[in-house]
Amino acid sequence: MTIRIDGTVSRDSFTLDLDVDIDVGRTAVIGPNGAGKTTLLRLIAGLEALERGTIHIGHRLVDDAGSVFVAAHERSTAVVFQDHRLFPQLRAIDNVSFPLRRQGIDRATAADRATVALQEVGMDEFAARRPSQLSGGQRQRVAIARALVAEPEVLLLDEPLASIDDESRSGIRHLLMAAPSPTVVWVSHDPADTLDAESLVSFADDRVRQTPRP
Amino acid sequence: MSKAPVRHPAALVAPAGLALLLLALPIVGLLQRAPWSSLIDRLTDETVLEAVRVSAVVSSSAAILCLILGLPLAWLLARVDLPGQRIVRAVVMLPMVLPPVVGGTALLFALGRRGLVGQWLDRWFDVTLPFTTAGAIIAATFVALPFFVTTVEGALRQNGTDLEEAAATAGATPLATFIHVTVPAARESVGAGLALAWARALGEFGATITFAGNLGGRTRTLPLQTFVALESDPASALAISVLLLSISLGVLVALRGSWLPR
Repeated sequence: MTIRIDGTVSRDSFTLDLDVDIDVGRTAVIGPNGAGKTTLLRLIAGLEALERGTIHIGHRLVDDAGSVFVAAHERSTAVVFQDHRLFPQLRAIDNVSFPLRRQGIDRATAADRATVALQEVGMDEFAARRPSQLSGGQRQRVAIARALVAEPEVLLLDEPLASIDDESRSGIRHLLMAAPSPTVVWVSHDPADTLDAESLVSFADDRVRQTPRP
Repeated sequence: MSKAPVRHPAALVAPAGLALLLLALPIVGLLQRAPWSSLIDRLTDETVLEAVRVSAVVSSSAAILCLILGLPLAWLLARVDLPGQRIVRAVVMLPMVLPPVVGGTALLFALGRRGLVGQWLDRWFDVTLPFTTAGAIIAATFVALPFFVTTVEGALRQNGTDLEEAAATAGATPLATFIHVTVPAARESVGAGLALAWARALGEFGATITFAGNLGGRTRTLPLQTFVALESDPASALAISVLLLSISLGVLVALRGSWLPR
């Protein structure tokens, strides 16, 4: 699923002028802190709105800075945040079931699918634990399972490795590289995360450059 | 490392001690005069039990109303950019500082049989609120609601929107997010707000007697019964006061940590 953003949004100190095409495959979004990488992701996810312009996800107009704004929960996107953002009162398995339950899937089926998703991130042993009983790396693995369980068309990763200790990092990086979503957008300030991305969106000098990889 | 010795200025310690005395002395006086040997008999007296029943119904119903109406209001104040936010907040806080008897008078002119809204309740639905248990519940809810709303609103602000964003991107509608994420994350404060609101409703006097009157078995709650007994049977008034005092202390102990500073 392709994503097309053509518009502007103002940040604290400057206006972000975006003209970005994201293709199917893995796109890395790089640039210094505060340049607007996360804003780009939040615009796609529906957590922020454009002030001018349009966003298309596939053929669907999701934001036209006016009458059209498809809310986050109605977009075919899922997000892995830098800070896991697991629901603290829910066990790991219930965190992962959450997106399925919201789609109206019954409890038993949702639990089965969540168990499979936890297996895929190596966390099935910890299904009954609450986030406070997990390490930082384990939490992020559960958060990845929660993002992938509903098989989103677009997976948005917002610095998913930034708060992870070195030991856990490569394992989680592999999980994310193997994510089955057709379109993956990976925001990172670490060039190592952008290896073998198919295209690159780079934020620098308040300008957005787009370079397809050969 | 030990703290450096500090000389506490008497100009501060003396008035602080007086303040404590002012707060503690009435409690001591109450406990000293309480009819301990006949306490149980006096509290199980038929008229007192009647007031206990009315109080239980009124304060619990008010607490439930605070939950049903106050949770959405707290959410609205914490999450929605309202036009005239400051005025809305002032309206919400008002019953905390308003003399309860003024609140009761205002309720009478709004919901009484000839009141702004009351006349229509009377004419269309045959509903009359003044001098009924329902009226006492509304009076108690009026004074208790701000305690619940401000407690929960503070928690919602402090919790921020990170988890709500995560829920939205996981496919939860705003209502589902509220039910499954926002409220569970604030459950401690919801509990604390409920306890405060319930305790305030239990102690309500002025708005109740003004709006709902003082009818035995219907609107005569424990505080009203205390007031009535003070004239005719002071020992009974003292017994009820000891009961209400211990309930208030119980709420304080239950709230320790979740609402009060540790």
